[in-house]
Amino acid sequence: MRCSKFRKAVLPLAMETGDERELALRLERTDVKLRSHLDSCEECRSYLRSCRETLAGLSVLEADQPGERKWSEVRDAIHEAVRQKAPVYGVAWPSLSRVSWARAGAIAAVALIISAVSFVYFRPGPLDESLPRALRVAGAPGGEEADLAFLDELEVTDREYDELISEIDELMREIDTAYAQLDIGTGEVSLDKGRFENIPT
Amino acid sequence: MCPEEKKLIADFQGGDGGAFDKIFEMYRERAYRAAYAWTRNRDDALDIVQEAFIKLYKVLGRWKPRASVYTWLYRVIINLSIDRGRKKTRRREVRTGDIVPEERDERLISRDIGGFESVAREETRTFIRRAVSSLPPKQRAALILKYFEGLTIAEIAVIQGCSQGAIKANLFHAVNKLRIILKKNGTTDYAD
Ligand SMILES: [Zn+2]
Repeated sequence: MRCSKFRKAVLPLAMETGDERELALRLERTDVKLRSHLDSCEECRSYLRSCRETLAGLSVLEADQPGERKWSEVRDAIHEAVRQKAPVYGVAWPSLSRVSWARAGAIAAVALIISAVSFVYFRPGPLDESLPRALRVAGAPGGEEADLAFLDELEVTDREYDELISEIDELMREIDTAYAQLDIGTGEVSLDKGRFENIPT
Repeated sequence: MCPEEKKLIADFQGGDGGAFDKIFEMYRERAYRAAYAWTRNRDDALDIVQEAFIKLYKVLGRWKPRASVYTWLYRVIINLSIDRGRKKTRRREVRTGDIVPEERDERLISRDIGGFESVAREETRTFIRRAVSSLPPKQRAALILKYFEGLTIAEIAVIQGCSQGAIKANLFHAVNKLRIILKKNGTTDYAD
């Protein structure tokens, strides 16, 4: 048999053995044909040594683990991020005490969009065809891969939801800015005062 | 999925927030090792780990019993690492000539400050890092998961969403390319 046929079998030997002793033990248990080829072929023995040395060189990519304090910081940051990104609550709602009727209408419309999106993405109950594909893959046959595919799509759906919330958030800010500009010099329609005067024309 | 992991997920789904912290403790080091092997930068690796666990938190409420947390985490970490690498490359392309410095190994430097040997070793490290970075993402991911994480071919195949044959081929090509690059540089003694 030609050397190239053995090369693919040599790689696992190089990858899965540590020191020379471990390699010797592994060789004892390995396929007879491969063993006898390695005994007789200097090129393949050299290839094995070369692979082992290449892989040993990779140890430079190993890192010291962070200390416990750093890990606590990371954990706290995760908790903080999860709190901040909780759906709907992430939107900065303006104070209702200074809300104009038109602004209240805009907020109500945005709230309606958020509710509709939340309902579509997160509603509980049986899975059906109207749900995103991710939510339908659940329970499909195919073992771990199907479940992982489901989780991947769930993650993508979740990310898209976050992006949508950010866009709505941005829209809210724009509405706020527009109304803030409108208030300057023109007077505003304030719920507090219960008056409907100085409406800009 | 191991029974401990299964129980922690069930606890989390039952409203026990502390279960997530336990899952974090279970997998944070493996996650960091993989992220560091890819990014070669401590801060980037920690950011990636953080982001991956945030994603995990969000999907854990709907976790599926056949999926292992670490399989999914590796998948996310590899994707985040690839994305981060692309963003960095784009930024570097915008700022022409700006080279992101490789992280220096403080352990080595503190052992042998100013020594000729340490300089030579540091150069070798940088060279090996660059050689690994030059591999196509799938080969690089297979190599990191196999070599650093000690995962089986079957596990890597699930993480990368391809066949075991493809993983074997990726590993074979990755090691061969590295051998050739390192041999050219004189980093390894052996040739064939
Ligand atoms: Zn041979």
